[in-house]
Amino acid sequence: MHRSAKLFDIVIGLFGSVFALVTLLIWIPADIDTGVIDVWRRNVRIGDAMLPTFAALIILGASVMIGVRALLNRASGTPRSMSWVFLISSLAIVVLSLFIMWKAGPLFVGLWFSGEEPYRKFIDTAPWKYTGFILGGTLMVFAFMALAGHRLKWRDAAMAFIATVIIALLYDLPFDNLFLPPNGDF
Amino acid sequence: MGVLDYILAGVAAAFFGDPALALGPLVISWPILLVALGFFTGILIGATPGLSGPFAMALALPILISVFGFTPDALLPVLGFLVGVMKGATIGGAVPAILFNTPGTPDAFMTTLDGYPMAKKGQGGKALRVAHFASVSGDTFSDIVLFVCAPFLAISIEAFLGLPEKAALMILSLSFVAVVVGTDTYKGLLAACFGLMVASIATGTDTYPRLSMGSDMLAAGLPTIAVVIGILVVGEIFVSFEDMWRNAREKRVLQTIQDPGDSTLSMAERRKLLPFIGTSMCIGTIVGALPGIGTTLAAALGYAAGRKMHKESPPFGEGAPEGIAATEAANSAVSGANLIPALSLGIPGNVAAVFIILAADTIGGFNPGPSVFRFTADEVNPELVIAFALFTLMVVANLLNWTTGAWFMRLLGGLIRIPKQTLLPIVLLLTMTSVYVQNSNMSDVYVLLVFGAFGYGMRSTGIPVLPFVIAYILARPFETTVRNAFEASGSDPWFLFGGVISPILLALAVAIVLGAGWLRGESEKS
Repeated sequence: MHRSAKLFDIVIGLFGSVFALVTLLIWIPADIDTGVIDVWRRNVRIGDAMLPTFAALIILGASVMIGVRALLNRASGTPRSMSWVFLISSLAIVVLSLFIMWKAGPLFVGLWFSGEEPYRKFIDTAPWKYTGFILGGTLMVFAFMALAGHRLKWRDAAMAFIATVIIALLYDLPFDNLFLPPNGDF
Repeated sequence: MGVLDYILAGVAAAFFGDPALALGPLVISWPILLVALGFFTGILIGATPGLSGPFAMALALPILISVFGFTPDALLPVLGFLVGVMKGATIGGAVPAILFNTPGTPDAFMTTLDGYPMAKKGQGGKALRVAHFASVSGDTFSDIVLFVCAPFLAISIEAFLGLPEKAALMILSLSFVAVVVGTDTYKGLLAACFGLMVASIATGTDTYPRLSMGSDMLAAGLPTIAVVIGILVVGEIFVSFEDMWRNAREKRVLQTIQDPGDSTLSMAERRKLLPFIGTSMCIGTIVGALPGIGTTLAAALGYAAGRKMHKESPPFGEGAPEGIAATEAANSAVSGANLIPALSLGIPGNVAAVFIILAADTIGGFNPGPSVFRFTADEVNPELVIAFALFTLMVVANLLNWTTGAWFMRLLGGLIRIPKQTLLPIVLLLTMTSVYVQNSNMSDVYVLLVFGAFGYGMRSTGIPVLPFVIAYILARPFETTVRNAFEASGSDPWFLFGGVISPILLALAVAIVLGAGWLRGESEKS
């Protein structure tokens, strides 16, 4: 059996079993009022806990089987290899881009109006409404281009910027009732 | 209303229901316009390596719902666009497979085996024509089977199956999908039950939204579109990013092959292809009618059957037009047949059906399932009118495919040049934006990304994503059916085991799970 396949399957088995047990023993009893079977006005009926309990029991059974099978070295195929460097880089790109998307609009409005006007007043006014989306979006697109291609090129940055502007205009110009992210949240 | 009245009402709803523009005396309705738009978009997306029909559906669905709203008038244009994309993407995948040896969609891989050698011999144009002819034949045949079988199956189910049998049928379908998709029964079951678990959050009949952990965001319910697109599309995008990152620069220059040779396809040549197309489209239709089995298996089976039939030169794999025909007819025949379980049972069989059910569910007014095909004589069943309008739109898409598909495919041959590492980051931003604009809420984007991470993790560890999505979509009707069946039985704890049909269906479900290894072994051999 492939070593990483075995490791993955043991992790899936452990994680699935713990998740199912926590769901069955803690989450469902604490967070569902009616139980698996519910008696309401003398009517016996299926309660809200039935479906998640049924699902959690099968998750538990399947996870135990996957884990035990891995411990017995019985293969379930070769997995893709996952890279922590890629995962952390991707997470950083997403978090940073979304952060800039959130903060850029209010920051520019704050600077331009010396903090006297709230961003909320400008969520449907150009150019302010585009700032967060275009800066955050361009960063996200460019960073993923750079990550996937192992290269930093001005051409990619320009392409990311142009693509983001086109996306912004595509949603904003024809539709009056649509907000670009994150303007609807203000 | 009689059957003919319903069919005519459906045709009228598709052609005249919602006028969009008038060209002199010719009035074009929104549904027809959107089918055409979806069809050409589908070919473009299918022909672009790295993208596929589900990408276009995922991007378009939130935008279309935002544009057309949640009114009954929105249903046909939205469904029309999705149907157009589904059909367009199926034939579009053959373009890069033939011209650049790069399958645009996974099922087009077998097309490269003979398509690219033909292109290298200067017969790219002819190969595209063969692919188009086979694809559109298979698709049309599959649609005819759908039009005949879906109402018949639905009426039979409505007549012979009660609530316990319907619940047992859903269990059987879920077991089948969990076992057949992917390579591991336990992982398939894990994915399906995880889908049921996620669907349980903030649903149920009690006033307290179950499993919401006191969170307002969870109590409002998870946005279905964000969950489905996250798992299906964003997860796939991240896997592609990682593959490109690992394989260090996928900046292969696409080779354009000059095509000075013969690009026509005579009637005699078409006739020669017919036995291969006929065999493959039957295989594709049968495979497509079973939920969860994708186009890739159909293409492989069609190719294998064609290889056995082919005796002439060149042999399969060295540029035989029959090889392209066998593959394309099989994978295209899956798309229509895949809607048989979706429309007659409400059970989505593939990703396209998931999006069609999702659209119907989100907009309302049409609940795919046996009740759609109630031919009520004294009062109009509006769902049946919509079903026939949907069939009409599929016919329109097929007519477009027959008349303009080949031309558009050849046109795209010169356009598809954008490398994957440039395209996919843009698609990611587009996906996020289209999910956001539906509710103008960043929490939808967070849900999208979280489920994208789940989709990435599932793909990386060999857990199939389709059982998750199908179980997630089916969870609510499944739970409602089980509840109603239990109450209708007078709270009998053995309600699922009464009668004959229900125990047989449940026994089949158990047999499928237990015999999964054998089933899979057989399909691998074939």
